[in-house]
Amino acid sequence: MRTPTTGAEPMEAMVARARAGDERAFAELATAVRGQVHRWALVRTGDADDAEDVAQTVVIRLHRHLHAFENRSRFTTWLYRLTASAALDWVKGRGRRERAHLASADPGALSGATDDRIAALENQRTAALVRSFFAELPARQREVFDLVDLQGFTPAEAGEMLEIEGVTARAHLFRARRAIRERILAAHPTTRDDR
Amino acid sequence: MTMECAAARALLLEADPAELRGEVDSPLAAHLRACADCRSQADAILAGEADLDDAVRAMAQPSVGTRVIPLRPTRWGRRMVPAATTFAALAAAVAGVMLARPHPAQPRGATTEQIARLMFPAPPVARAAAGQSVAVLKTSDPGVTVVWVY
Repeated sequence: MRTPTTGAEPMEAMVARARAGDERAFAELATAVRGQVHRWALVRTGDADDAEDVAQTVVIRLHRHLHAFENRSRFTTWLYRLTASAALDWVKGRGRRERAHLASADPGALSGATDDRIAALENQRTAALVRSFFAELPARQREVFDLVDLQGFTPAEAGEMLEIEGVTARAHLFRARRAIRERILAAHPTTRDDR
Repeated sequence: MTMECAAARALLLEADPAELRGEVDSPLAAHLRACADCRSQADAILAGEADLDDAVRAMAQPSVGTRVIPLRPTRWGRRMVPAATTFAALAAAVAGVMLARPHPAQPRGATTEQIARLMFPAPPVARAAAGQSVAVLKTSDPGVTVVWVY
């Protein structure tokens, strides 16, 4: 999914109406982008539970700050940055909370909520792949890989969303592809034996 | 132009998915069309990435439940069960915007508007069409707007 869809009405028109103060348009816009924001938050935080909190926070921030969107970038890019900012704030807060509770868990470990959702995957190979995706890939590689190879944005678009150079995005993408694909091929029964 | 399998398999690890699918013209794509073994590896990569996409998409579905998140979100929010009165009191107490989802324990069949009327006796209500999941509630206090995600 490259751009969240809003049914019959183009996204730009809905954004314009919401910016003009039409609360119904805002509600429809927020509903339309919520799933996309949730996915971005999940990939960014690596934590299903935190992703829900971030996605809801983004809806609030969208309501507060939509008037500041000036069409100088694509709405999707602007929304991604809003999500990234909310996720960063949330992760920082999570760190404070974990330190406050003297958490002894491995900081690289997945949360219980994320682990539960992975465990629920029927295909064990897929579960292992998803676990690797979240636990082993550096966050920036994970984000670029998800945006480009899974969601269809170009590396240049991903770079703009992540506020990094396109060439840097491509470097992250290649490292992520190599890590993910080596994992896929190592687990695949038809390719495992002849490697 | 031909390509050795060893070279092709090195390129497989970093190639664009479109190249793995044979949608572009390149030495690797040509080799994949001619070599069944390398083709099977490319297919395995594409299938694995499709599975990963499906899994991430499924994980990104909001779970059913209730959380009330005030302006400075805290973990206690997710444990709250907002009966209407509790919810209304909280709404009055939070000077700003807050966000909530209904709980399954709320009256069976209650609509967003019915719940909103309980919380805010006479606010204008704007919400998305049926089946959608965000509502904006104006209160009698112009400084308080409720964005309700349910």
